[in-house]
Amino acid sequence: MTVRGPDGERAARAPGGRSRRSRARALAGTLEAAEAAAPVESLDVVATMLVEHLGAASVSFLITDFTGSSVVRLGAAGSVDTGEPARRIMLRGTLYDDVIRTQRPSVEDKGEGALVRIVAPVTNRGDAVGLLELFLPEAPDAEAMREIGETAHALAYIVIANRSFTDVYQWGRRTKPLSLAAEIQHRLLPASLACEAAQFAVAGALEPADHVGGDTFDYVIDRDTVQLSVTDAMGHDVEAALLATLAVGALRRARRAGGDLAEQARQADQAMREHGHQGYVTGQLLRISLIDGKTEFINAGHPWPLRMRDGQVRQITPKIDLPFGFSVPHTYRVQSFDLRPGDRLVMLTDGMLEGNANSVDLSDLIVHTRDLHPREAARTLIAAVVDANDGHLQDDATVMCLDWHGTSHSQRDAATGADLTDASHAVGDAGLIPGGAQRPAR
Amino acid sequence: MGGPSVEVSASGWCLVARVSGEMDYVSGPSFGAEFLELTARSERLIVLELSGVSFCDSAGLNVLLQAWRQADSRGTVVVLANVSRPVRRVLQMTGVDQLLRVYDTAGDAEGDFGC
Repeated sequence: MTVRGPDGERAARAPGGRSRRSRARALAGTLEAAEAAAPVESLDVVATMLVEHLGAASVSFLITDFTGSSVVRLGAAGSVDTGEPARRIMLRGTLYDDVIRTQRPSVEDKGEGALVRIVAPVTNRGDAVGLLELFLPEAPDAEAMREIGETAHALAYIVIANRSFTDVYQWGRRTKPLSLAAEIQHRLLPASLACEAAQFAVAGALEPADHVGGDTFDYVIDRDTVQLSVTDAMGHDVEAALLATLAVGALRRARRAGGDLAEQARQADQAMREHGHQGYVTGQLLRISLIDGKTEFINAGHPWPLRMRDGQVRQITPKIDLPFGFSVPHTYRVQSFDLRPGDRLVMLTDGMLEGNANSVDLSDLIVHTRDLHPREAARTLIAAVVDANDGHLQDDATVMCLDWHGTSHSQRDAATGADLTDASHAVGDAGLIPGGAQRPAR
Repeated sequence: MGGPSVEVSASGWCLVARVSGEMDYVSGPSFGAEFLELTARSERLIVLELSGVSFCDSAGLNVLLQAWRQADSRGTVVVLANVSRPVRRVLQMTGVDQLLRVYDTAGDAEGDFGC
């Protein structure tokens, strides 16, 4: 989606120093206009408003693709041609990457009458949906920057609300054709791969193997708990995707009916035994109380979780119960471990440990990425394993990363859709250097 | 290293099968067929000697479990011996070592069952 102004000409600007009420009106106006448009056109409407309000020469929206490693500029509505693959812009080393990492808008002003480029994060609850890019005839003042930030934040809501009606956003997110198994696998994942709350930040990342391996992850936040699961279905391709579907369906059904971890495990096991054609799924289920931080988990034959505390990574050694679907009598034990504010918990699948992934020192990498937001930390761990396998995974690689802030925080400061105290540093900042500066204390 | 292979030797009521190759989704069907033949012989004990197996993924694990299931239904015991470190780790992680007993050597397993 790119909307251009009339020759970059400056349109009439709203008078400066707008009140909170007029800003609220502007936001309401944005949402109203987006709502009035067809789902595929809601972005263009917002872009047109920015062209009118700020005299922008051009406005476009870039959506992050499934891998989180690139963005795609969505074509203008009406010209969307699904026969062509979306043009992929790799993030590594770009201004876009810095804006996603830091979750702060960036202004690039080359002076001498050149258009000023502004890139703002389009983020909701830490889920980096995409970016808003504008070119203005002159550097924006504080008020204009606020409007851009607010519109970018509103845009996140607009994208999330409208993507359930149209495939346009789906199309933009896939930069290569998906296999049937990969398509099924994507639909099993939570709609947002990252989430921030006062007590924690969580993010998951999954890189499918060339022959999809049946990994999936899930999380949900209720009033009193946050629950996470990572599962790995045996086998490959559609067979594995179907087993994964069965497992995730059973876990979600039990969870939504209010079942505790033991009940969720029991139902997943039963579903696999009854419908899984002798297949099985390994899994790790976790539930953390948002009231007292008490942490419960079940290990169903799954790789063990890692916990980083004070810069040291330790594997948590669980009591191991059998994977879901083994037709021998067995039960699932709910265990506990200690989670303290400042801890980072990493859950993974065996694709992170097997084959060439062996050469990656995960503990070391977890320490070195400690200053990154879970979203970028999870992606960095996955990227290391993908690189070790020369880009071709034998098995899916999945990571879920959870930062526990503690129960003493009940609010998060996130006017722009992201908690800036949690954001990663830009590439090249001290925070990315192993042993570099710590993120500011909360 | 050659492809998947299973070499069987019998002593008394016990079979020792020396398994070589990586146990994954490529070799799974081949090992599955070999193990089916083994379990059909209805001996008292089958020892799968795994010193020649350096890698086992979920598909390999499934083949081991299938063998265990088939044997169990015929009253045959399947145990594992001489398991390499990475494979032992997979067995431990999935809890499969609770179903398939792991011995240091095939001789230890045979001794235990009086073969």
